[in-house]
This record gives sequence, structure tokens and C-alpha cells, in this order.
Amino acid sequence: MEIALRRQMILNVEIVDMLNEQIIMEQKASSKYLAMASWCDQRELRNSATFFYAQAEEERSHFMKIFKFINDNGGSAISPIVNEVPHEYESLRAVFEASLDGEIAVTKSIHSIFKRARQVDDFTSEIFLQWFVTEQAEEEEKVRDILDLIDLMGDMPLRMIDERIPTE
Amino acid sequence: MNLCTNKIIYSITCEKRNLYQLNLGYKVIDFTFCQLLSFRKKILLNSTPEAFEAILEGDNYILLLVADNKHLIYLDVPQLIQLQNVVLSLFKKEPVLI
Ligand SMILES: [Fe+2]
Ligand SMILES: [Fe+2]
Repeated sequence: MEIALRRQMILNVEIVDMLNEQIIMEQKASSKYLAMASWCDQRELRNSATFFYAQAEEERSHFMKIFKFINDNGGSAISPIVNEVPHEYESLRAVFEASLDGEIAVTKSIHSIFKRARQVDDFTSEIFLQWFVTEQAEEEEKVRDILDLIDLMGDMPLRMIDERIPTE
Repeated sequence: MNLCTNKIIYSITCEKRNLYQLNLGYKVIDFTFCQLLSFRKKILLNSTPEAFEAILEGDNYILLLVADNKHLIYLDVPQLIQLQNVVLSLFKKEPVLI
């Protein structure tokens, strides 16, 4: 049976399960970013809104990448469903803080799949996940830089802080 | 009335490439590999402690559409546990074929 299954799929089935969970996590990140974009947009914080719209697209591209990887390698990718995401924040700083926490959670999750792939000798998935490991380091840093900027600007009006937010 | 659910021992075999046969005792269901993956997912989702609780609090059984909706199967908790074992062992490095 092992040979029969191996002829169908190069990936470890448990890793495929974890990757499907990761798809949900990326979709959730995308939806959260979209809600953050909406929050900023409604408050005329144009640059921040642009930043989060772009992030929402990027998270979508992340799960599409995983989705295709699973199907291209004989697995079965599952279209993600997400529940409610937060739409209310106390401040612009709180929005970026939530965004950093979200990225950290994603990084942890990517690392745990990476570790497991290595343990079960699923080198195909391990190599595939390398891109995500690098990507997460960049994503976290990007948000940290913005939080530093917000701290530096201190009590400046929100609109002025927003003008400094990178729109990518 | 004949109650024979507990005597049935489920098995999944593969004689031909991309053809997996689940023998439920009263019928044999053919799966392609991708249908088998979906089946595995369905069984695992329905055999968590929470899922069992929901079944026991409800009708004591569940109906599952499998193999691209070609078959409808009726399962109670003991049957689900048995299928879960079959499905789990199937994907182990050294599967135990019951
Ligand atoms: Fe992501
Ligand atoms: Fe991200």
C-alpha cells in the first residue's frame, strides 16, 4: 500500500493537512488586512489603507501559492473558509500592533510545518516552505519599522503619521 | 433482526493503480486517489472527540456522501472509530492492513 500511495503523491499526507491549515491562516490574514484597510480608509488614512489593501492581496497570493503547490503535487487543496475578523481598533497604532501579532503567529505556524516536514523527510515541502520562512522575516520587519515610525512621530497628528506610511 | 455492524471489519485495498477499494462488508466503494484523500479528511473531521459528542447528542449516527457524491454511507461512532483506524494506518509508513 505504501508504494501504491507513493505513486500518487510525493508529499507526506500529514504535511498536506498542515498546509491546508496554513491556507486558512493566510486567508484569515488576508481578510483581517482587508478589515484594517477599511478601518483606515473610513478615517481618510489613505497611505495606511493602501498599505493594508496591498497586504490583503499579498496574503491571498500566499495561500494561492500553497494551494497550487498541494494540487500540483498530487494532494488535495481545500478552499478556505474564515469566520468573523475584527473590524474595530482603538488607534492606528493598535491596527499595526494587531498586524504584527498576526504576522508573528503566521511565522510560528510556517516554522512548525517546516520542522515537521524535515522530521518526516518531506523534503519537497521543506524546500517549498523555505520561501515562506524568508518572506515572514521580511513581513515582520516591515511592520516593526512602521511601529518604530509611529513611536518616533509621537503626538503628531494622525494625518501626518499616515503620510509617512510606506505604500509599498 | 440481524445486527451485524460490529462483526464487519473494514478494509481498504489497492489492486490497481489509482483504484482504492473500501470494503464495508455490505458494499465495496471504489475511490480514486483524490477521492480517497477527501474521504480521509471527512473521516478525520468526523472522528474528533467533539464530533463524537455531537453525534451522540444527536441522532447517534451520521450520513456521509463519499467518492464524489456517488455513495451515501451510514456510520455510528464505533464504525467511525474503526474507519478512522483504517484511514490512519493507510497513510502510515508501514500501514497495518486490517
Ligand atoms: Fe502570508
Ligand atoms: Fe503576511
